[in-house]
Amino acid sequence: MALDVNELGVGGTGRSAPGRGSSDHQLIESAQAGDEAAFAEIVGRYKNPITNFLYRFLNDYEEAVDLAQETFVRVYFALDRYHTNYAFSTYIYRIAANLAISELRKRKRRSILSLTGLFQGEDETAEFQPPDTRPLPDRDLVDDEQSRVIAKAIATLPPKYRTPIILRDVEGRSYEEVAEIMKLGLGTTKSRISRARALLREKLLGYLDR
Amino acid sequence: MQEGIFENEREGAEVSAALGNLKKVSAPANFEANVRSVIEERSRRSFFGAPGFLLGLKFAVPAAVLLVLGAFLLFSNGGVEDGQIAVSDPIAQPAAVNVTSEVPAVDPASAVQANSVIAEAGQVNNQVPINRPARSNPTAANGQVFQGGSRDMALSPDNTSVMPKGVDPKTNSAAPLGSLTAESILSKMGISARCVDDGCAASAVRSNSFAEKSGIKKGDVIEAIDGNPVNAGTIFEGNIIFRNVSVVRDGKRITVPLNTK
Repeated sequence: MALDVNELGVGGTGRSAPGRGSSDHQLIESAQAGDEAAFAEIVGRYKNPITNFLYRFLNDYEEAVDLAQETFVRVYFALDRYHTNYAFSTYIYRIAANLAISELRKRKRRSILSLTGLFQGEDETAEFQPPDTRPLPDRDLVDDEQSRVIAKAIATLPPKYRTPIILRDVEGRSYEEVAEIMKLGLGTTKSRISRARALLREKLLGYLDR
Repeated sequence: MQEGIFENEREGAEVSAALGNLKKVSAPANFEANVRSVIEERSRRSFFGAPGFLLGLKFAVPAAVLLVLGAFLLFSNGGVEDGQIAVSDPIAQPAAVNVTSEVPAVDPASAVQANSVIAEAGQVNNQVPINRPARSNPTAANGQVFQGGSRDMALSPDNTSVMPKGVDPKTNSAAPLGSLTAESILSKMGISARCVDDGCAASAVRSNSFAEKSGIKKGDVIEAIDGNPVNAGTIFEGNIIFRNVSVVRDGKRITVPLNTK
């Protein structure tokens, strides 16, 4: 089954792709039957959310794009094994999260011999460099800096806290969906998100109030 | 307590709001094209990269090597041409060994027919059955089928002696030995002899031995075997088939054919 890029929706809108109004499961079933346009529609629907999720997880855009592409490639080659028992969004976010966690492990191995990687551990007490709090004249610059600081703070969270808080607070997924993606109970998921927020609050102390 | 919970919720909401306000990033414009190219590349590699293919390759290569090696060994005939003497340069008496190349019938069947004695001193390869006994299976005049070389014979339960290729230990009494002097060879025939420069004098002939059956008598002076002179310095090495012995008896030189019957 070869993928025809000409049938992929441009910019994720899926304007020229058939099945634009179809559900995810309908598109997957069509893709399983060999409909390349259906898979292209799937890519168009999820490429931005998955890229954004991975970017917030890794705090590295290039790496996030690479892993997002890898996510869709894996979905493509696993189409025959996909069952529509649960939401496709759950399925693809789980793949992306697993890839991101694997990437973190690779980084950790690489950082063993790297002085710059000494503080990129998964420990909750990982070092976080406070930002420069001097006032800036331009509001946009302040916002950009705040975004960078928050992104760095997220990147210091352990994966077990980073994944649920990004899914919940950045991607806006429901608690139930986050629990399903992480294969955790609802209570555990809420607890981790709460703990992640508290950790972030500590890291960003005195910064969010500005 | 209640205030603490509210405080935590307020702070959590604050963090949640900050995260929700983060700028969303989008996939690049060439995202789909890259996905397509990766899928196409892996689809091409999927055949050669499949586990079954690699597993098959893992066993196919050694199997092919073994097949080629086996075929080479099967058809190469050990590097020895038919009709060629395979081993054993003579040490002291080249004539005593080279005589085998002049003997026309060296295969065990004809050797038995000729009532010859086969002595252990090397390897003879004049006939195909000698060199490749396992494939040729020559049949003797008495109907006995030779199974092959010494290895085949030694493996059979009723044979414990190891003989050269093509030699049937059941029909020959020669023991497997290395280099032999003329006295030792004669002793194998049943002749107690003392060799000097001119020949070997038979001081006794063992009863019921090859020598006695062939007509060699006490007092005979053995000068040659198959026309090749023997004396105190003669050493035999390799497999040699003897047909006759030249002796001097009562002042007359006669040739005595060796008879196993």
